[in-house]
Amino acid sequence: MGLELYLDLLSQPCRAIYIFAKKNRIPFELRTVDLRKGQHLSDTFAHVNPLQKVPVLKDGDFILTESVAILLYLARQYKVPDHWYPRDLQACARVDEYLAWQHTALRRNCLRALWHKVMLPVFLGEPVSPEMLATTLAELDMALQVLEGKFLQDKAFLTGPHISLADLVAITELMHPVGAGCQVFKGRPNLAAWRQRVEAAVGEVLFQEAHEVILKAKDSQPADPTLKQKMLPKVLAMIQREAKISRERKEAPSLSWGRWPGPTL
Amino acid sequence: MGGEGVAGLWYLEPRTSLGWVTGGTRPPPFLSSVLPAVPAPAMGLELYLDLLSQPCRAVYIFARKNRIPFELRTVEVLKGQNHSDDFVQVNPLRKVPALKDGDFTLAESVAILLYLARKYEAPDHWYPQDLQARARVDEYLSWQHTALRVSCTRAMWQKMMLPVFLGQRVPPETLETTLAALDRCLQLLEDMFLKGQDFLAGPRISVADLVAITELMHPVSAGCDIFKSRPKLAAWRQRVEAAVGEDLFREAHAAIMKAKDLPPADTAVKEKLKPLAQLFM
Repeated sequence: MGLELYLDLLSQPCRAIYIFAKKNRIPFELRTVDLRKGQHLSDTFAHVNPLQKVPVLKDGDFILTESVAILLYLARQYKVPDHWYPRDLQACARVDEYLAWQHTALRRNCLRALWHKVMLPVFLGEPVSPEMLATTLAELDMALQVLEGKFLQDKAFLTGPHISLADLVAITELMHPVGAGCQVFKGRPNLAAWRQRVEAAVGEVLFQEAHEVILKAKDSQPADPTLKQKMLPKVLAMIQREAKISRERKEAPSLSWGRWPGPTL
Repeated sequence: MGGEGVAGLWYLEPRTSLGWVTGGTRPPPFLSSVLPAVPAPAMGLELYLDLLSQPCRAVYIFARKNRIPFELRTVEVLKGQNHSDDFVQVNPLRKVPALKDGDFTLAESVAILLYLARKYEAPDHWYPQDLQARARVDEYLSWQHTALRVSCTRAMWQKMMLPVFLGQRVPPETLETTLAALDRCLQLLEDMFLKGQDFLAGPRISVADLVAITELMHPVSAGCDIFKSRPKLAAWRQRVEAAVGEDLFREAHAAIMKAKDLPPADTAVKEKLKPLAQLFM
């Protein structure tokens, strides 16, 4: 059995891995784990990943979780072109820096935007207050400011003149709120231009294919009651913790993001 | 202390920078004319650290253990020094740790550790060449951001910093929930990563162990006896301390272990740190 990738294209990190593997013609068996059907909670999948999360890589007996680790493993194992994860010390460090930052910043905000705007109400039938949604979208906005101000600046791609893993991870994250109907590129011409470049570098067809599922997220069928019961506590635990953070950021208006030094830095 | 990730300090920053007192930066212009000429800061590697912060300790231990020559630039986050104009030039994210190597600046402890490992050609076991071994390290370094880091930071703040330093009451139920979450994380640490191995990613110490141990010392410093009922984890801790060297380990943790003796913050500081305090609840 060759390389297997356990993915649900509804998930941001899964899309990044899917695009990366396809773009680099890495041969793999796609094992779809349908999150909305609760397939990640099955006993079969628990044998693959007891943490019940996607994405997962299985290469013979070797099982690997965490999308950043998976992307790096694939890049090395299949000796992809250098620009994805450069050998140059400083260029590589820039990619590492983005991949580290995004976990608790852009990734989190994009995830919350999708859940607060679409998935909680539509899929799990749980209303979300307008204030909560507004806070979430304000936080997303702040993360976008950092993305543009610190990472992109006036470069073609996030970490330099060529597309890297950082861009793949970022673009797939941003498509989450896009899938939820948020106009993240509106009023952000720099970011919109970067998006075009990333899509062109990936290839329009592959990009569209990878994002077909997320772009139809708002058409999700409501979860059946049993599944809802299983999923809701986990989702709420994730949302609640971050809701506390966002509430406090809203109450402290003199936040550092608001005083972003700007592209002259 | 939260270091990067969850815990940058966000509040109205003080307009004066104290960085020039503790670090190697320039004094404010109004003092330059009365002070003796200060030599320009070294152009070599500079590490901007606050050892109260978990990721800073990991970077410090790694650099010292590998005899990497660097200038230590102390940035005291509790005093708001991460908001100084000088420091913002180094890291616009206003978080520690940060690295400056000539004109090259770098944020994020994971990125910094890997940069140092590569540039100074640290022994292989820190970040192994072997593909699968390396993947295990990457897996840990990725998982910890939203798992162990979060619960260790919360546990330390809720048990110690909030009540002792900021005089803020933490409801017992809140602390209980936090410690339960920490416990679950520790179980995962043992079951998913350590398993039957000597170290988190295999038979030898790697940067994953450094990141993990410095994380765990946070709740330890607050009096959480996390190793008590976990003999496997306790044995791993001993191995990590031995591999790092007892003296270096103790030195890196001196500040955090004395955090419980910090005098209560004055009213002004308490006000400024209020948003941060809420962050850790």
